[in-house]
Amino acid sequence: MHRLILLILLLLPLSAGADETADLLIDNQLLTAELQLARSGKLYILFDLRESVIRFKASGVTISSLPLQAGKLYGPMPAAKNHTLAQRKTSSPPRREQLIIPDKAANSEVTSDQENGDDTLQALERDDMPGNYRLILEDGTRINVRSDGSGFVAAIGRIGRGIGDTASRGSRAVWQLFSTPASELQLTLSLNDARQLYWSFAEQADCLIRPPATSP
Amino acid sequence: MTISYHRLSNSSNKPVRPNRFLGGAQPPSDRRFRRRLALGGGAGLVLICALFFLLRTPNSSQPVPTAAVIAPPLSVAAPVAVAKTRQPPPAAAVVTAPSSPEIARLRAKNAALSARIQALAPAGDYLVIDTAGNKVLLRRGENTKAEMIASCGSGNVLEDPTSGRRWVFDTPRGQFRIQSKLTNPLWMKPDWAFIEEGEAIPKNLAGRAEPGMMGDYALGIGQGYFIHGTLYTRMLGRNVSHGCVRLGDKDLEQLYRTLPIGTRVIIF
Repeated sequence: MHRLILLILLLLPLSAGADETADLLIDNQLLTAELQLARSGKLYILFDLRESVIRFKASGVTISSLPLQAGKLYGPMPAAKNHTLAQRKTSSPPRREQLIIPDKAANSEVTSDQENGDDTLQALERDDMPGNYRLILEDGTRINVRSDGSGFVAAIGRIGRGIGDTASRGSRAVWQLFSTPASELQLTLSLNDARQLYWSFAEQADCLIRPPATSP
Repeated sequence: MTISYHRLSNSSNKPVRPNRFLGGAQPPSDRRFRRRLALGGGAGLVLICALFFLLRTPNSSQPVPTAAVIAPPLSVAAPVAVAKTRQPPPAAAVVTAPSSPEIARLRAKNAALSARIQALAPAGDYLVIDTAGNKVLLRRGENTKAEMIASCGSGNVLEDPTSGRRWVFDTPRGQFRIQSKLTNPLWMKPDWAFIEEGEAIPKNLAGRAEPGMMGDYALGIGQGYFIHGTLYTRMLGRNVSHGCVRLGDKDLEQLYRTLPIGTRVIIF
C-alpha cells in the first residue's frame, strides 16, 4: 500500500509536466495559425476558454473583448487551427427592413421613418440580434451561445437549462457513439455581449479556439 | 413492533428469509455470495457510468491530437512492419515525461511567435469602428485615446423596382486605410439616394451635387465609403447611415487634424 502511494506521488509531477507541454504545443499551433490570419489582414475571433474571454482581433491587436460568464468544452479537443464559421442557427434570426419607396407622383405621405428620432427606428441594430444561438464551424464544431439575463424569467430559464444540460449530456454521449464525434462549446455571455458576437461574427469569418488548460 | 414468526413456521413453502429481529440466522453462503456479486456489479456499473460522464464533463483532460509531436518516432526510415511493432501507442506519447528543456524550447518558440504577431499591429494611431455600438475609437497600441459616438449603416435593403438593382446599407467590415482627406466635401448623390426618395435620377452631374450634407470634413476609406459629418446629430449612436460612418463636428475635426493619410481603420 505504501509503495503504491509512493508510486502515485512520483508519477504526479511527470503527468503535470506532460500537460504543460501539451498546452504549450496547442499554444504553438494556435500562434502559428494566428500569425497567418494576422498577416492576411482579416478580422478574426479568438475563443479563449483558458482565459474565459472572446477577443476580436485584427493584425494581432485585440480590438474588443467579451468576457465569458461560463465556458465549457464537450467532446474531443477542437483542432488548433484556423476555423471558418459555416452557419449561424437561431430560432429568431434578425430580418433586414425593406425600404418602401415613396410615390412622389401620387403625393403619398409614405416616408421613411429611418431618421424620425423615436425608438422604432427602421434599422438593423444590435438589439435585434438574438441572444441564444448556435455557431457551426466548417469541421462540424458547434458553439452554443447563451445569454444570461437577469430577473425571475432568466432564473427560471437557468434552472431549465441546467436540467436540460444534465439530460442532454447522456443523450450526447450516446449520440456520439454512433456519429463522428465533434467538439462542442457551451458559452454563456451577457445578453449584450451575445448580441455583439452574433453581429460581428458573420458567416465565412475566421476564428481560433484556445481550449481550457489540460494541466490544473 | 411487529415480529414475524414466519421463519419458525414449517408449514410455509416460501424460502427462508432472515429476520433481523430474531438474529443469528444467516443465509446460506452461496446466496450471500450472489448478493455480494449483485451489489458489487451494481456498484461497479454505477462507478463506470460516473466515470464515463465525468470524462465527458467540460475542461477534462482530453488526449491532445498532436501529442505525438512530443515524442516523434525515432525510426522514421525503418520498414513499416518494424515501425508498426515498435511504435508506442498514441496514448503513450502523452504520458512521456517531458524534459524541462523541451518546455523551455516551446516557451521560447511561443514567445517568438507572439512577438512576430505583435509586430504586425498598427504602429501609430489607428481607428477602431464598432458598428454595433456605433462608436469610433482612436487608439494607439492597446490604449484608447478617445471614444466618439458615431452612426453606422442601418442594414436596410433598397430595391429599385424598375431596374431590379438592390442595395444593402451596411458599413463594410475589415481593415481599411484613410485614402483621402477632404474639406467642405460635396455629396454627389448616388442613384440609390434618388430611388429612396422616389425621385428621378438626374442625367447630369450637377443635378447630383448636394452641399453641406457631409459636414466640414470627410475621410475617405475606399470603396466609396467616408467618415464624415452629419446634419442629423441627434441620431448619433444609432444605425441610420447608408454605410458611411457619421461623426459629430468636433470629433470629426479632431480626426481630420490628427490622422494622416494611410492611417489604419479597423471596422468590426
